[in-house]
Amino acid sequence: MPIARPYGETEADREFDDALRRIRIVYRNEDGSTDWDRFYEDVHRREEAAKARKPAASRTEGQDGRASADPA
Amino acid sequence: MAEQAPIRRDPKYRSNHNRSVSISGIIDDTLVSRLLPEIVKLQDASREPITVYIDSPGGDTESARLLLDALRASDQDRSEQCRLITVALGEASSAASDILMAGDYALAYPYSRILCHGMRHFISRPTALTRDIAASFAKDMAGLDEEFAITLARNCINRFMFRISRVWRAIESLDDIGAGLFGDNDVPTARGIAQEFHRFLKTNGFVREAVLEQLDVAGLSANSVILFAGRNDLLNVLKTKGDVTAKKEAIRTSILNDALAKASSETDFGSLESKYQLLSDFLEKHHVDVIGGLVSRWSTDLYGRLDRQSATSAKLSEEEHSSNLIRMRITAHLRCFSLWFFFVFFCRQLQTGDFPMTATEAYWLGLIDEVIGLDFASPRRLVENAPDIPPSLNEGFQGAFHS
Repeated sequence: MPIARPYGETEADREFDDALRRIRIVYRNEDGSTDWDRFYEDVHRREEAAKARKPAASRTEGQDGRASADPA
Repeated sequence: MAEQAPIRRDPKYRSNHNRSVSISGIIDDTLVSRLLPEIVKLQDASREPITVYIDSPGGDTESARLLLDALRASDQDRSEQCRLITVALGEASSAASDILMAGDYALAYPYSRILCHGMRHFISRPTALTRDIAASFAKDMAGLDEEFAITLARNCINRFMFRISRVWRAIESLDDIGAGLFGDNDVPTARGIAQEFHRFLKTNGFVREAVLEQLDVAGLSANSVILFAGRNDLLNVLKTKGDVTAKKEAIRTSILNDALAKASSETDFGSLESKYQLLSDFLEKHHVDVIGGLVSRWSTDLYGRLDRQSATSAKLSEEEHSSNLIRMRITAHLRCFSLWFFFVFFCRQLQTGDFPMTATEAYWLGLIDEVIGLDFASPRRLVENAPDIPPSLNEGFQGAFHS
């Protein structure tokens, strides 16, 4: 089984680290830890809101391999 | 919510049937012959991610390796490899589970079944099997199991760390009096990780008892190796200059001496072989780059309550604060070291028998990234929902744990 690419080598790794950095800043607890519970509660709310606004027929949007903005 | 920007759907974390291949049925030469032209065609069209749909009981490991090599191939311009999105549609067993977990992003439908097991050798025609031939087979297969376990660990360690980072506070809050994942002191143990993680998974009913037992065994075994690696005589061997073969021989002697000293309590030479293999990894520094990456990405999540309290204490002088940060960095390194060796040993355990898992179990054990349709934390949701930083926060932020 070939080994996956080493850490930090890909654009996706760099983007992931940047996302992690932004979450750690915005969702930082007073003691310096990250409030993951609050982050995922917010994510859940946004996803539910986006789902409610979106007609079921358009849920395949973005399957063409390109990013699309979901107006949540 | 702090930021109301739109959800950014990221194709690097989503399946796309328009750029996909399907691995279904037995993985063999016939399947490879059918899929290779499809793979080349997709790679020629663009370097966008390729989705690999999987519904297979497994098959020939060499054919699976060939498929993965082809999927990861560059081109004449040495372009970046296409990112692989692997998706378990129904069954992903044996060699098919290897392909699933080797994906850059691995998804599974909640009803899919995943099976991990050790190497098997099928004898297709009458073979005169002697003790020597059988022993030779056994040795070769053990070597392949070892190779697969390390590769699996390298492919999945960031998934496991993602899981640990997510449940960290939940583990700490399981018991207000308890010491949390690593205890109130700075000495991390693989056994401690296994016990606490096990406790978390059991409390929440995510994983069946049979699979949880493997975590315990992995914790015990990895812990003994870590303790063993801390022995002064072995560290002296590591410090000496010389070729790897001589060092390996010195370590082997050290292991045997250790076994003789504890002959009454430890007589299993299979476990000695495992120790030796782990120590070889340690000696050859396979883990160094992996642990460096883990520290860089996850150290913030590995600090305990006491670490955080001391780091944010207003009573400390600047000098004390700075020495605290150095101490915490070292602590994070030690903890990543334990986590890595624990996870390697867990992957070894998966190569020792048959381990059928649901998609949810594979997720909680750190083997896949996302279970489709379930409200679990995943790298996709993290990346797609990461907020932009308000300018005031960005300018003023002096993260105590960011170095």
